[in-house]
Amino acid sequence: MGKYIIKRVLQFIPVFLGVTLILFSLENIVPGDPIRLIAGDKKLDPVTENNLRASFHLIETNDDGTIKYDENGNTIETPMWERYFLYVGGLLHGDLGVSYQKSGQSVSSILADKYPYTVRLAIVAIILEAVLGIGAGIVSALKRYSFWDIFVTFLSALFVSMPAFWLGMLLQLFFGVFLKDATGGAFYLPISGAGGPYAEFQDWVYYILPAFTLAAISMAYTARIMRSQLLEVMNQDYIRTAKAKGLSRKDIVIHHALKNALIPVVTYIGMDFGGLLAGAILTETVFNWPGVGYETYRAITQRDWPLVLGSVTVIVVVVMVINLIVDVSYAFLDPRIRFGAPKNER
Amino acid sequence: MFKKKTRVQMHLKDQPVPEGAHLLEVDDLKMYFHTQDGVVKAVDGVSYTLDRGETLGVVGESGSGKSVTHLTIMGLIDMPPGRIEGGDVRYRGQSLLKMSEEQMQDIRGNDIAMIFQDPMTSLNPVYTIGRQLGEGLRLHRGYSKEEALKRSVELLDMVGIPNPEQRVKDYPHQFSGGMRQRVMIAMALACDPDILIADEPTTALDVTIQAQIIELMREMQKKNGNAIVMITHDLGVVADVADKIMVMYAGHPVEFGTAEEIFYNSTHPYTWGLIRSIPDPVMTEKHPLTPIKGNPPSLVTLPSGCAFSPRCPYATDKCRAERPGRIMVGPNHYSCCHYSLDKDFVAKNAPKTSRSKAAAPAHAEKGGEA
Repeated sequence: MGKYIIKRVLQFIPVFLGVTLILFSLENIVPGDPIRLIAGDKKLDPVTENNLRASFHLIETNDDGTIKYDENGNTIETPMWERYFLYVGGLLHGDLGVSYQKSGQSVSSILADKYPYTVRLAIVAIILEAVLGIGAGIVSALKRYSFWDIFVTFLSALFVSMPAFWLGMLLQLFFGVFLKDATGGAFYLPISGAGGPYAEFQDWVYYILPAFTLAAISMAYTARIMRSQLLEVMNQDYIRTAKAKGLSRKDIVIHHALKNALIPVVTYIGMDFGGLLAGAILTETVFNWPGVGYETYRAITQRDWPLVLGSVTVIVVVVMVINLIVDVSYAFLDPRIRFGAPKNER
Repeated sequence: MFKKKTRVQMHLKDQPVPEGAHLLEVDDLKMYFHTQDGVVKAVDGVSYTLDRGETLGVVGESGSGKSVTHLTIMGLIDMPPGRIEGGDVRYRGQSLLKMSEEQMQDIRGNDIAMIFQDPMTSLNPVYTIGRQLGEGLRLHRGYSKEEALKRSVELLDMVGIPNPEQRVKDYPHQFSGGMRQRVMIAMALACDPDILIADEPTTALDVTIQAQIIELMREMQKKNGNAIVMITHDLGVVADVADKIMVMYAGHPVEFGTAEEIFYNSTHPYTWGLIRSIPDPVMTEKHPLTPIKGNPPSLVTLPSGCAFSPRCPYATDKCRAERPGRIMVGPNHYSCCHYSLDKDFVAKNAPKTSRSKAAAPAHAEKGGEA
């Protein structure tokens, strides 16, 4: 197992280099000059502009920090590969660079500021997803073709086919606007932001709608996987063996069926948690959630490349680590993986 | 893990078999599946009796209702789609069909245990062998975890698994097919059941392992005195172990008798077909392997008359028109063929196996042993 983990960690390196390289290339392809965007409508004077460019290593400088000019007196653009090595070199020292837009703020400090919101939202969403998804799947499978089964199947089909941002907007409209009007302002849910010192609700109330929106699609998938897995497992020979032993249906479901049926569900939820930690750009934007997703979205629209790169880099690492944890946890659920391939199969 | 049962356990196993009753009496059992395609008459009038120490062989092709009959007896058929249409199953004089699900749970694994066909899939992959072996003991006998584990080691040792203290902690995938079937047998015998139903226990195993498993079941029977129902499609398998043999076709027993009667005095053409299908180690031109032509009929639309008539080489108009009843050929030997008592017909068409000549003295020996 130790060997396996080391192997997986080593695999991070090429993936990581590949992702950053692709993003770096995109930065050069996508139109829009970040320095012009900083200035907005105003025209920057050439000296300030060149100083800004030099500070972000966009043009070459001499060793003493002064700007390098070619024989025609023009600035020299730093080649992409050189900036790439500068960036990766900085990363190795834990330096994610400095934001173009938020003057002087380091990307690390911005992410450190935003990440807790994303992590908390992701945790609430994953709990919702696991509890409601698995619960609905179990009920659906055990009471097959009953009203609840049809209800769950219908809801999951609905959630799967509904874009998350649209669901978010509908929820905002219903719980934030209609409900407020209908109850004369007595009861409604916050539809924007993550609470704060002057918020009118306790902080946790702010999590309800975004977390539900974030969890909806995966919840539907979890319920579906759980249902089909449980139905499949209940048809397995070893369930019949357990029945023949005299176990009650309850014991069979709890002790024999669930552990087997949960293996793929746990994988799915784990992978999904990695995705949620990456920040949900759509959901966070709809709900003005101050997390990495929203921040990344803003950085992209403002061509704030260091911030985009920084958040994606962190996301890549987080997703890879979560996936590794999921793969390792698999072994705890399934002894066949724990002990490697069967040695004496017949 | 298992909640202590508050209800009064019956422990039928400890009660004597009532006067005039057998250990297990299956009386004209009928169980039909009600499906969208129609009514599947999966079990259509099965009767037999079984006593302790006896072995009943149930033989027939796939889909002849052998397994379903015994799953019905165990109460392992989902109802619906299945439905009991008639008959009764009595264990120690008590009707199993009238018992509640809770009562049946006490019977299953404790009084009547079952071994299944495919040991590769019949064990739960995520639990250790020890846990699965001890489960029945903890449930029926109220053993603690430690007691159950200790007994599991003994059980593994009993069925001939080497190094049982270590192996009890292993998972099913670490066992070979033959080993797993031994585990299944140990599991079935854990609570010392009265009746062991073995549903094609050797079908999924290598031929060399098959003999070992059969031998193991016989040994265990000698030791525990339990009754065995051996379900198989291979007459060869039951030849040596069964006291009585029931030949089934289309959910219905077509011939019933002692092993001797079935092998040497059978009168039903389907039994003959099965005997002819036993491969002979030395195959000569004089004894070609003769399969039964065609396929078993659909149990939704059974042929009129004798269900075997479309495949029977000797079928007459009478066979196609009239369903034969039970014709007693001997005191406990019946056959469902119109021509069972026609001595010329039987003499002319019954298979002349090498066994019927050579095996007669050998069989007498075995009779003495029993």
